[in-house]
Formats: sequence, structure tokens, C-alpha cells
Amino acid sequence: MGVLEALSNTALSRYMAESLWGYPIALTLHAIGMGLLVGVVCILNLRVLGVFRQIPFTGLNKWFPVILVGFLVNLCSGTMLYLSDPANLVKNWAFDVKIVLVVIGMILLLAMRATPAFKNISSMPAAAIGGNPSKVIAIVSLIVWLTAITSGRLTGYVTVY
Amino acid sequence: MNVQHILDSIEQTGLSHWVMGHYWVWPTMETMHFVGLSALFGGLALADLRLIGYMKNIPYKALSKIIPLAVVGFIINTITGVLFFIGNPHRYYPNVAFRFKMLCILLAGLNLLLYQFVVKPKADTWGAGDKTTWIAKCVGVASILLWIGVITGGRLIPFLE
Repeated sequence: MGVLEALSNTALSRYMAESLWGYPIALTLHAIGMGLLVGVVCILNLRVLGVFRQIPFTGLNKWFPVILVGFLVNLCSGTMLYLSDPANLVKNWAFDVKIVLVVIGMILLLAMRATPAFKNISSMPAAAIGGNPSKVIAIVSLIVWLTAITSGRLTGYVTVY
Repeated sequence: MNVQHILDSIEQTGLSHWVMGHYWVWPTMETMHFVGLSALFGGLALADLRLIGYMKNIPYKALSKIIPLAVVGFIINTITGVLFFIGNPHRYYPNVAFRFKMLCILLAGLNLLLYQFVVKPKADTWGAGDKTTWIAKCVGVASILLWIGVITGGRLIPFLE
């Protein structure tokens, strides 16, 4: 028995495929988590690039837990959505692109935390902007997350034969 | 002229035909609606969390500089949302989830008035480390819950037809 078949035989997968409310609830949580995750990551990136410079750089440290909450909500709800139709979603190119982009986006976030500006965040001046490594990551991250939303939306439109 | 006639005449406009007549318009607007959602919800969540008492190391007035970005998200979503309605007025008007979503937006607007005239004047004086007030906490919690309600109503529209 293949992995996909085994997955679709799990209790959670059958619940997601057959129950009336499992799918819409997971979809709703996924949209809420997306707003929190992508919204706060993008505002963080803009701040690193010099927008909203009145916000003290040190304060950005407190945004990572907020982003993590959004990510965890979407990891759980996304897994539930995936289990509703494991065999067909892997054949959906838009879904594959989205997963790759989300993984890249999260790696970029970890990379951002490892840049000098964030490693020394407590000693950064209030009006600081990110150094070059942080700025490059911020620009790429903005593009990655906007493209991730686009491919996530297209997942529902790609027909799988 | 009753409501059905108004909906009929909306459906017969050139704009309605344009929205429904091209395969790419709907998914493009949906993607923009999701990007707008992230700007709106992410931006407001950060400001609301400060009102509730999280990240007190950021002066409120500095953090509130992100609110214009949330307003941009709201404008994007008003435009795309109105276009959805014009495209398919008979689908949205009677939909319970759509009506719930509109009610939540209305209540969020009233909550915003409370914010603007009661909470903001005081919150703007909060420096780093300053505590919040009970009414600011109530307005912040209400804002987060109402926007979660808006997202929930929107996401459930296709499931309550």
C-alpha cells in the first residue's frame, strides 16, 4: 500500500473528506493564520527596509512569537486540508509551488533572525534599519510570500486529471 | 422597485458581465482579496496586541504608523469585494455567511469609532513600558474578534449556499 493511500485511510483524512464541517473550519483557520503570518512577516520586512521607522528596531523581537502563532495555525489547518485529498493535491502543480514557497519563506525568516541586525537587536538604535543581508532577505521574502498566496489561491483552480 | 429588481439591474451591468465573462478576473481578484486581508489583519493584529498589553516596549504612537497599511488592505478588499458582489449579486445578497460578514464589518467600524475618539487620544501618549487601560484592552480584543468574524463569514460563503 502506497504512502498516499495509507494517508487517505487515516481517521483524520476520512473525517476531513467526509464530515460536513471539518473542511470549512480548517479553511477558515487557514485564512486567519495566513493573515497573521503573511501580514506580520511583510510588515517586519518593510520595517527592515526602512518603512515605519518610528517603530523601535528592538521592539521587532516581539513580533516573531506572533508570526509563529500564525505559522502553527496554518501548519495544523494546512495538514488537515491536505489530508482531505492527499492523492490529488500532490498532482496539483500550484499546490507543490506553494509548499516550496512557504518552506523558503520560513527559512528566510530564520535567516533574518541570524543576520547581524537581529543577533544584536537589543543594542540596535531605535531608528535603525537592517543591514544589507537583512534587506536582501526582506525583499526576497516579500516576493516569496505574495507568490505563495497567489499559488495557494490557484490551487483551487488547477484541474487535476 | 424591490431588492430583487435592484439585484437584477446590477447583474445586467457591463461591469457584472466583465467580472463573470473572463476566466482570469475572479481568481485574480480573489488573490488580491487575500493579499489585502493579510495587510489588514496583520497590521490591525499588531496594533490591537499593543492595546491589549503585548509588546509594551514599543510606544503605541510609533506602532500605530502601520495602521495606514491596514487601511490600504481595507480599500483593496472593498474594491475587490464590491466587484465580487456586482459579478454575482443574487449569490451574495441572500447568503447568511455574507450577511454575517457585513454585520461584523459594521461592528468593527463602530469599534473603530470608539478607538478613534476614546482610546487613541490616550494611547498616543503611551511610551515604552506604559501600561494600557481596560477600555483599550476591550477595544483591542473586540477588534481582533470582529475581524476573525469577518474572515470566517467570508470563508464560509460557498458552504452556506
